[in-house]
Amino acid sequence: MNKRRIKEYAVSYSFLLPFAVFFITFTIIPIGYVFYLSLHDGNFLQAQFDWVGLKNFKDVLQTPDFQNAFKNTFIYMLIEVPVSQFLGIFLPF
Amino acid sequence: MCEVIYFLPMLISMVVASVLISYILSNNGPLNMLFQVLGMKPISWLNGRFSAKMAVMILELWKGGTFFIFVYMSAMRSLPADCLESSRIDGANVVQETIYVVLPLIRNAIILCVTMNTIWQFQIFESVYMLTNGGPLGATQTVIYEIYQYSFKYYRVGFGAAASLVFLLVILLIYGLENLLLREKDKTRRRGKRMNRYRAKKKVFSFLKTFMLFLLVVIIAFPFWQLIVSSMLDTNAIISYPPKFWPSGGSLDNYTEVLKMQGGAYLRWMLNSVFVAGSNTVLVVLVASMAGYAFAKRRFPGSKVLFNVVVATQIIPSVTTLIPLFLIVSKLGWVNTYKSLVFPGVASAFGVYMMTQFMKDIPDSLIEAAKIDGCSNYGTFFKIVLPITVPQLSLLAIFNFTQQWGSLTWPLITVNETMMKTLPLGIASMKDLNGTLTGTIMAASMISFIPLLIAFIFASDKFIEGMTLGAVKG
Repeated sequence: MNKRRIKEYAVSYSFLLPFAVFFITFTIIPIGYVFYLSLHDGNFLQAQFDWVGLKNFKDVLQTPDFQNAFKNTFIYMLIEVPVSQFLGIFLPF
Repeated sequence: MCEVIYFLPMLISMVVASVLISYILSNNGPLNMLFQVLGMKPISWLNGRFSAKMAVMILELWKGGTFFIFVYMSAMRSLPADCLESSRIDGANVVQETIYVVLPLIRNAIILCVTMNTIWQFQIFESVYMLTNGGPLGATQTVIYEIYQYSFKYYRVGFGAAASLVFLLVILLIYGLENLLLREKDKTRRRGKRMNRYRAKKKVFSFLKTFMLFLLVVIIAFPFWQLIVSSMLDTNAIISYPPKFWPSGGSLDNYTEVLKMQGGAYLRWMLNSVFVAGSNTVLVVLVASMAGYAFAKRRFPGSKVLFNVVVATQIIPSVTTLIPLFLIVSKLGWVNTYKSLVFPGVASAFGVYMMTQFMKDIPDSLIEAAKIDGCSNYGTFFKIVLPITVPQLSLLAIFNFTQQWGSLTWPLITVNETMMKTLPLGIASMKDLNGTLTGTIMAASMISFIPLLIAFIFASDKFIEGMTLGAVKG
């Protein structure tokens, strides 16, 4: 009985296995990796990353390029969303 | 017929859409001609700080706006009839009925659409990359554009990673807000008998409505017509004033030139796109339906937790994992190979989620019967379950294929050899630094969406259903 149940479970997991391989490699590991990278400094060319703590986050918030980009993105949102929702609701009437 | 036209902007890739719209907005283009006819000043769209933003928004609206019309249409079709009837008996006019009856009833749909739209707008990248390259002077740069620039042009990996986490935080805040709003709603949900089709009393508006719908069809179809026309003209005729609306004196030279350029690169791009989108779709459907079957029909420890983890990762925007994904792919030595284009996309949490929902509808008795008849576990899946879920599989396949066919961001990062490019990336690279639209780009864009167009014409119902699967995705 117990053996049969274990076999059943094994079959279930074997159905999951192909997805699990892709999901772990291309979703789970990258999510962990991005936290690691954000606390380090380095580039693609040199394979070495140095620990810098929260410096990157401070830089992001202080870089004018990013402040500008956030501002632009909010402008897009504030104009485009109402316009397309208004059209979306009233055209099918 | 109208529905088919509404769907065209969703069918084509952002790259092709941006070619269409940048022609419409070009200095000597049709829109500026309209302005001159109406006695207004023509606008040099891509040169002004605000007008360039406008251009990006026009492109986004043209490409994505009809999606919401579809969602609202289906929401309104399922409105309970008695609520509307009673409001009419109480003497409500159209405006009152809209504000006090219809809008509250479709509130859920509105919240979903607004959230989805907000998140889309937050993720603007391809349109900016294609249309303005962030210019003039950074006026159109978006967060993802900056992340791309800093990580893949200036190689500041840590900085880019931090930026994408800040970005993730904002996205999570938007989702949190949506949840808050949706929960409040559920108390007031009403049920009633359903009408086949909702029609508000609106005789006054009926002329206006017909006119608006006609206008909408023109706005959607006109750029396609102009693409056909200008793909047959030479570059000088395309950029000169007035714009041509008929391909008089045109030829098919652009098409032969496209097929011959860079030693037949275009055909190779086409084959790459077919192979990449095709094999990715086959893998996604197979892998996701196996996982979906396990989650929906088989018991095993950890089933719920694992499913929730998979569903939860859907919230994470793809840009968050873009940098680590590239590092992983390059460590595997996959840069400039088909592997990098095909495999990362197979980890489709959305596909697993959809397939789990579909698989739940299969009657347990069918699986039991197969087992009693001596079918093995795998036999049951491959011989019984897969064949009867073909209609649902094809929806996921259509959704996935159109997404892969048009995707630009990932190929842009992982491929730089001419012969490894996919169609969107190839067409994007045909634009020169001035962004001049040439006849060959027009012809290249034209050819690139013909395969999908043919498939769409033959199975438009399936396509419409498959592509609005994204309505659930959010």
